[in-house]
Amino acid sequence: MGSLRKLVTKLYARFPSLTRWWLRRHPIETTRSVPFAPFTLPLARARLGLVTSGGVYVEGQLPFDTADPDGDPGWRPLPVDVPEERLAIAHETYDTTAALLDRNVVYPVARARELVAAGRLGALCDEHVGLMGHIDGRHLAALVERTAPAVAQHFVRQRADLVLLVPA
Amino acid sequence: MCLSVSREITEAVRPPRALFLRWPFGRTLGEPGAREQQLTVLLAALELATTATRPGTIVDAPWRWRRHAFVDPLANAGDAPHAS
Repeated sequence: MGSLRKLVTKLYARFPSLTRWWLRRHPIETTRSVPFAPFTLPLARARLGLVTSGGVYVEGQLPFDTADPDGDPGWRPLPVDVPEERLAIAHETYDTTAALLDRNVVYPVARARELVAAGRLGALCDEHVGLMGHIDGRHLAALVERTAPAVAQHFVRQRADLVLLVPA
Repeated sequence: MCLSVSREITEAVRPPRALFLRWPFGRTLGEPGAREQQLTVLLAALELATTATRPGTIVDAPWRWRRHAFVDPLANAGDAPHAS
């Protein structure tokens, strides 16, 4: 990570109000309608899928492309039983210091396992999903038209009852 | 549903349900190793599945960064956020 970019990410972490300044200069994609499905299943019987946009991937997979200024619009399957030490992070637009110490701050799979063990949550999907946030420019169409439907289909196949997106 | 550390982005993207935390980027669930904090946030987010019945609901989490003493939600009831 370049030292200037690293400094900038730390400033954003330290001063969240900088986000408003950033948003004035980088309009984001907006949506008119809100997709919504009523949820009536007790959490104790629900099967959860996790999506992290913190750039988490498994060692051995192709890392997210951090050199492209528009980001990497692809996705990576994250098997639920991968040890934390094999979960790598490729992302340069947020301060990864905390996530490198404890993946749960952006990908709370260990905490979700505890909820299942305590009977507060029914089960976890076998494979969760890693994304890279901060997708921009020419990659936005790929994110919306290819990756998002593929991830949705993935969780249908995984028989997820609910999916939680964790941004970084 | 999703967690959020930027209300502005969440209001624009309009996910079905969101829990907004006025916390730093890169620390969405809390601090490294802070199990009780992370469990509390995760449970609060999941409970939105049943408590947020209006599309686009954004709930403001009540906890201030490094100003709240979290307890183990698996051992104690309560500590839930309030809808705005």
